[in-house]
Amino acid sequence: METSTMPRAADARRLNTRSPRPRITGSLRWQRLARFVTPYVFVLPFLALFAAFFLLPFAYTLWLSLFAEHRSGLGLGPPQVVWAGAANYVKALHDPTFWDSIKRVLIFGAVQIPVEMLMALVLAFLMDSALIRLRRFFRLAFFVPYAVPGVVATIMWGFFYSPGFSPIVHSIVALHLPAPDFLGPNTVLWSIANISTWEFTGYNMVIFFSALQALPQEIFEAGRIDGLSEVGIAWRLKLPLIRPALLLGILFALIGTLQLFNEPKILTSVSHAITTTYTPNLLAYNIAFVQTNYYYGGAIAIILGAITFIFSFAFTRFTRQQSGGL
Amino acid sequence: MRHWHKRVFFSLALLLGLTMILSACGGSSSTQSSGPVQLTFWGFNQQIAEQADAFNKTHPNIHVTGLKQPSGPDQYYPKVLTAVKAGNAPDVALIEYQYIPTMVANNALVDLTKYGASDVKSQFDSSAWSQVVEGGAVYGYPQDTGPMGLFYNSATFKKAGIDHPPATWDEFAQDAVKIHALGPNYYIVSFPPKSTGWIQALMWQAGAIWFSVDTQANAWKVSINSDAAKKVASYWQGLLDKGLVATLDDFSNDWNAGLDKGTIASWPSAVWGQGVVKGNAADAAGKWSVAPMPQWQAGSKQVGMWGGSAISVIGGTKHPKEAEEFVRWYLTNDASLQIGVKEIGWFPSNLNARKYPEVNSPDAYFSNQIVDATFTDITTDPNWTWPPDLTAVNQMMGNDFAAAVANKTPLSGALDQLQQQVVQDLKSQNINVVSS
Repeated sequence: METSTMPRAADARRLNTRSPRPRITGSLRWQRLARFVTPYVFVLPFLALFAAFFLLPFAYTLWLSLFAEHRSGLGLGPPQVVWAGAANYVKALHDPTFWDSIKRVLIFGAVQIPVEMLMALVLAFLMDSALIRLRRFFRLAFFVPYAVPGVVATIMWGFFYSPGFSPIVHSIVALHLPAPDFLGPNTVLWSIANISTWEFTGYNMVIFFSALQALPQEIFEAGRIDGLSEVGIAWRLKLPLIRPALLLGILFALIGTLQLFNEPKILTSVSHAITTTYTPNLLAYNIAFVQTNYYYGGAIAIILGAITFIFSFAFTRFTRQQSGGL
Repeated sequence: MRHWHKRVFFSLALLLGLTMILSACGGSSSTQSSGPVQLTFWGFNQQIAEQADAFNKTHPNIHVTGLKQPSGPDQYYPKVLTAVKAGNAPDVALIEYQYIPTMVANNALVDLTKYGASDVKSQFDSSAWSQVVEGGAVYGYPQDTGPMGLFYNSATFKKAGIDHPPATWDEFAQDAVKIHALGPNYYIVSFPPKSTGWIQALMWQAGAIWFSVDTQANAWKVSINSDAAKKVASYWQGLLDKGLVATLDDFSNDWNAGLDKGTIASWPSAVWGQGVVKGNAADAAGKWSVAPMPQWQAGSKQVGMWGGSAISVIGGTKHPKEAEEFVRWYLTNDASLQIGVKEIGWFPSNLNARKYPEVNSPDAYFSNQIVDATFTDITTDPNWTWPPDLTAVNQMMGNDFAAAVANKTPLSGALDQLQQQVVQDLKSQNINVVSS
């Protein structure tokens, strides 16, 4: 009897260490510490990369933007970096080329974003409806442009736009119609919009489609019983229910539009209408790295960041007021 | 009990791993104490790797890696300057003459006088040598020069009923009409509005000196919109307005195709352009010829310079002595010069290399013309001076000229605008400018 009770007591003691009132406090402190630290260790990779590729460059840009290079005489000696305070910011805010570039991308966004969202919505509804056969194929086919790197896509479209190579231009000319100029001062912005739409419609379509797939089917059943047509269901039920996904898509598109860079940068080589000040990001890049004025370029980048933030914030605030949030 | 041990262990291991990865990223600066000195060399041509290999074979203590870079001036010089700023620039790089003042103003070049520049001076053409000297300092050795001439497609000219190349710009304009009459796609030339160096060379030829130094005031005199410059602008304006010239960027796909098909019938270019013509229009052997640059006054031999390059030691290098040794070898040793002349197509600044048969012999591609001879019988205005902020000037210029061509507004307006922008840019950097 005695011998059989011994291990049981040991078991009980062992069990005891797991109870809320422990005896050995040393190891528990470790345990508490571990429980506290562990989640942070898991977000550490993110934090490290976030710091290395966002916080540090941001802080460095902010720091640089407060300086300026000064030279003397003929400017052939090495420059002196001097404290400029807010001078670069004042200069940027009074720079008409900066505001022209902001205006240009806003006009771009005002047209391109609604077109892209509308197309993505229609495609997502079609995918979601029973109308489409080969659904998986189409879903993939519409998504593929997003998988093509933006630079490659732009080079490809550049060939479609170029007067010498374009099969589009050639076939229009073959019909004895005047050759279209896709790269002229009045058209090139919309040629870029076309590339963006081509690239991102499928991406948004997939987001909207998965939001649609996640919706409970009973509501639509009820709608049908109440006499709603399929179009009515899409418009009255599905659209309001995937509103958060739609708003997210618009927000991303808005940010992307303000930061437009790849497409105009690459089309510069085929269009004289795209200057180095065409979009705010091109302007910041060219001032910082081509003119090697890192300081003024930095100020422009920071202001652009602030404008992007204000637009995103205003958009989310506005839409939250309209309904219960994103 | 085991569980939390494992968790802490795992977390610590992760942390350790991460720090190791991060420190490895920044840990490439470990210095090699033994082995040859490592040098990096940037240039525009694939063959520089071949030349570097030839050097490495005979120099066991130095190892040079030649890396071809994209040659667009709006990509290359910003890259060099940014690398200098970031502290990871190449030790040696090709720098076109016009960018030397800009590089010097950014502390990016090493003065070679203290590494024995005067010993090699006599081996180079004196006018080429003068391009690398500034304020008594020698910022590299001269590789080749860029005097201009006219490459033209004699087959297209003949088809248009023209039996000799235009000797003057007036004749060139008359020929432009005849060539455009061949078809709507036929143009005598493309006027590339973003090709800043090309337009500047045309200005140079016409005696329009954009930048000069007022020594008394120790200030720059900027005269971009002078009468001479406006004369050049209005000449091209006339051709553009009548639709007699294309406006394709040089070196673009459409432009290359035009040269190849003969629909772009000529290209006023520097002597190094012969390699470009051969490369782009390889099928057109025997069709292309070379002639002296069209002149503003009949009988004159005035040309501007488009490019031409120095090989320079870049500021920040840890091995300036070895870098100079490489540059010296690169531009004086036959093994390197042979590759440069035969394969890259230099019109060499090295006097010894100028005696190579390739420089003075007929070229089968150009209907057995002695191409380089066309580019030696010239005069050039020595007063043309390059500004200390050419990257900025060229960027503004490309924008102004491209906008003028795209919006069909006058080029003379672009010159006025550029004048104002450049003066403003210089002043904003505290550089002295006198109004002209």
